[in-house]
Amino acid sequence: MGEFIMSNRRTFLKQSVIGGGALSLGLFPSELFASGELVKLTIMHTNDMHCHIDPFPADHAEFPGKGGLIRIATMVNQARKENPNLLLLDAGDMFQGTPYFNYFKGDLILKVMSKMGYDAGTVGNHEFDNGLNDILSAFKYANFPIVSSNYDFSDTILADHIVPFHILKKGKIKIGIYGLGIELDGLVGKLNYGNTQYLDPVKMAQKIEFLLKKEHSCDLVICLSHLGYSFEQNKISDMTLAPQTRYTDLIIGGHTHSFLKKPSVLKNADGKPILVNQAGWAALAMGKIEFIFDQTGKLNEPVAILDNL
Amino acid sequence: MRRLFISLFAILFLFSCAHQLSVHQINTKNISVDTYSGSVDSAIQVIVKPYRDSIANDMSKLVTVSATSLVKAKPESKLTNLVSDIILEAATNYCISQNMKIKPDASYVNYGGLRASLPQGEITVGRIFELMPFENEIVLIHISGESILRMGERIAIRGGEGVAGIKLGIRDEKLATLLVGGKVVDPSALYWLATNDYIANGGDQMSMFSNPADRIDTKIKIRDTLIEIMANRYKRDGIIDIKEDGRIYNEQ
Repeated sequence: MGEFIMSNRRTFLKQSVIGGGALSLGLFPSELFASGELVKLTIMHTNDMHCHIDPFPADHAEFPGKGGLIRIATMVNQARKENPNLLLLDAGDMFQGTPYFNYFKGDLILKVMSKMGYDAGTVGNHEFDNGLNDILSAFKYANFPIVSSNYDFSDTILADHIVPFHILKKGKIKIGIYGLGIELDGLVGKLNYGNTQYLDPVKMAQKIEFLLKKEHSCDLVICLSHLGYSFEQNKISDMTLAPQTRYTDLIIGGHTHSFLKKPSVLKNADGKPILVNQAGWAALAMGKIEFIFDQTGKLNEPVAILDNL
Repeated sequence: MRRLFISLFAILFLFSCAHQLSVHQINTKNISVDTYSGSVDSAIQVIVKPYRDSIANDMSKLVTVSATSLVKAKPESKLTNLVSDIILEAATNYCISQNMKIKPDASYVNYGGLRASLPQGEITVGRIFELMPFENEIVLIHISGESILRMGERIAIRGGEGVAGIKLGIRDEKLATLLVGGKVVDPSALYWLATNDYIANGGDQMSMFSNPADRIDTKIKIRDTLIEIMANRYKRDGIIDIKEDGRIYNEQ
């Protein structure tokens, strides 16, 4: 009987969508949102901002007048007006790159990100550029959690300041966020990372994603990764991580400064879709991803993924 | 009746579970920030302005004037050559000033460490900060010709990097020619190489630089020396017009 209702309902919803010829645009009738049958989460994300708070100078050779976190702040404000269920995330390398960092370390970028309402960030390799003490002093200005699942900071001064994962709710949507960092040896000076232990990102991802989806019943699981989009060498990256996961819905990447035209869609270990995205660097780009959830439990798969915003 | 009971039980079970939402559709868009023009968030401006103003004066100071824009490229470029030459010059000056009987043979600059291009026309202190944001310092390492050859092989695989005092030919991503000071490298001889502390500490997979026979930490900040040497050259010689000179080239 339940199945009967379900399939009828599904048919009805499909017809109501197709009826308007709107499916190709991925648009839904607003009454489905109003009635609470569908809920929308908007994710906006940055990576490798490298303290580019202001746009590049107007006479810059490569990016004249482009980029700037200060512009992204306005874009986020606008998007938040359209959908208050907005998640703002960063995938690391907030530090290093403009005189703001040389003069004020990580303090200013974290003050700005906090004011913008970032929900979470992670630890990139450049966060270590001035050592652990300067990470600690800057992170005091962050009013959002910094997550890292595969850097073990327990034997460092950062032990109480970085969390292995973070769970939050936007409206009715429960979101679990974890973070992965790149191998430090050979990339960051030993003096700068001290007793930070690098743990296998794949094992930690599998462990934490299970915890978030199955034990904490998160509706969506997001990985903030500073592993890099992909490498020619046989080195772990977002593209090689994604097929080894089961419960991660989205990997927001960084490190390789990749300007993706649109998110890559891969299959996870269960053959289900997982998105990998990255938004260049220096606040020159930002990713925007809307997840539309079916609250009725009747409409689910297959999931449509459209580059249509 | 029994069947109905089981169905009812199944329905009750379904609805009593904590209801996890399922994704139905995903809409995406990667947005370029260059095309966006909106009013600036005043709350953010209030935070940033005092910081911006306090460094603006320093950043606007003139260092030099360039006849062309300086953009990094492989196998060589005006920018990689300029920085590598200055590091070799600064290291040489350092040895003279310290009365050391050392003459650095060559310099190596990691391509990824140059973080921005320099514009045609006026180059300010701010631009040098963008080019070299790191607090890295010049380090001299005394390494074998064998290590120099390993370095050359790595540069060949990468298709080029920043060097001075070196001529390097690449064929099919392999090292074909390597001269230091115009001479073929002797694998058993020792050479003084100027680089930065990040590289000398084993960064960027340049493991051939680990365990040098000797090492001198000059404590000279690379950014400071770039500003100083370029400003002095400008005062002395005027506008700079950097040329590529074929120090790294692809062989046919």
